[in-house]
Amino acid sequence: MSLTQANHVFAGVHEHAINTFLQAFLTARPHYINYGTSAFVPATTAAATNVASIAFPGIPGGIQYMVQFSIPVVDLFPPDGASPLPPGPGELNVKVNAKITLGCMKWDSRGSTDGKPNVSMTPISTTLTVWGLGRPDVRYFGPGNGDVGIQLLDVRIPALACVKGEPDSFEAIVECILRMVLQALLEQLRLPFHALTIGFIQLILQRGPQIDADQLEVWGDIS
Amino acid sequence: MPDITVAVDQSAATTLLHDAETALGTQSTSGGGSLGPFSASWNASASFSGGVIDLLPPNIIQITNCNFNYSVGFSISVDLNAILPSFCLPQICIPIPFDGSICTPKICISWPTITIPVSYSDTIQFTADFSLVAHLVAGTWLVDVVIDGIPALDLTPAAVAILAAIELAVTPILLAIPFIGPFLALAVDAILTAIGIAGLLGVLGPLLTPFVAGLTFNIYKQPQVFPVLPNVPPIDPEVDINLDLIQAAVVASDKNELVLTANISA
Repeated sequence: MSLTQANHVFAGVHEHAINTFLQAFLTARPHYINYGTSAFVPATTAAATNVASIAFPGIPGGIQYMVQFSIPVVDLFPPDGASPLPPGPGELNVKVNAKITLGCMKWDSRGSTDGKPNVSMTPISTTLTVWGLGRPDVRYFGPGNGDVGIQLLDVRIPALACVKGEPDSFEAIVECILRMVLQALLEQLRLPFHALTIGFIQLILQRGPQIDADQLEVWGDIS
Repeated sequence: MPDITVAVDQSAATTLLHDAETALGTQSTSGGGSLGPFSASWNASASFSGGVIDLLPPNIIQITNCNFNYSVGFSISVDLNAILPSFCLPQICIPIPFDGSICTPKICISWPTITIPVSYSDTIQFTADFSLVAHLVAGTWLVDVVIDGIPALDLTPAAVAILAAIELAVTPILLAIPFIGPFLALAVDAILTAIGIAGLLGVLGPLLTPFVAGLTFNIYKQPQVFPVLPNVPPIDPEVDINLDLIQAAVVASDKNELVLTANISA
């Protein structure tokens, strides 16, 4: 069977290449995986993104925190190993470590002469391995102009797995928070067509993307 | 399995090759030397278009009836003294009664050197096999389609046409020369005979063959450090990957395909 099949053009990107793109992208622009409030990230730079603290009445400066992701690793169907969310045909896994740091603060207003409390902060951290199940999501704007991202379908955090087989409310809350954050992260990681084809052709997308044999595949024509 | 595989079928390969022909554009050359017994300067330009593409595994791209569009221009310098007899007005003496005679001097005509400009354009079709060559040159990956051997170009019709054009061009130039009248036909014949078909072929071959010898169409050109995403101020730098290896081949299956593969690293 020809690669192009009923079309004139085929492009296939192995999962190794997708992970190489992710590594290149997030090494050059780590602020997409590092977020912190002003206590941790005073200003947005290429290294990290400044986010607002969580305001709560009475907590000086709000709740300070930091979320740091490792560079995600994508595994296209069929799965390379055991997974809590094994991808089916047309699906993929994303595995990432999320380090959550909380600025654990104590404050004391006694003896303050300017009305401001004396605040001490101790960072405390935990790292969770997050598994995401997804499928490719394509945007096509015209010949040679489009990109492929990941649509997140589900998330599992094995470290939070409930003991008695019943869903745990704490697990659900943390999973939901990390699902939202991971979805926000993945929506910014999109692979442009010219990278899929390493600049060989101007792809007119007619079919795909599909996932088969650890490869993301598209078909079409050239302009 | 390679990191990235891009395949095009014969239809898409035809589009790529024709784009490469256009990208190659018009090439030109110039020179000078002998054209028969005369001296001449010449220039030529050429471009390529069309042709039917056949992908032949494992590594051949055959282009049938590729159009070789060329133009040549000659500026031929002819010293008429070399081909026409010398011509003198004889001395004439008029007797004057009781005082001898008055004689005119003998006047010999020196024929001028004339310049004959001729230009000619034509299209020759040729068929040739080309090989796929992927190579890294000074940090840039190229995939070239390089002609195998030198195709035979039938330049005889062009030589005949150019000789006819020389005949057309030389007549009005000669007519402007005083006293040439009786020698006009002789001069034209002498010039055309001296140049001849063989003389023109002797210039046209070396002039036009270099355009097709080593003919190379480029179908892929990308820097080894390949930009995936551009710089986005103020904080996002360009994102690059390394193209570690690029390979190209014609692969046979239920339809033959031109397949480009790449291995990459961050």
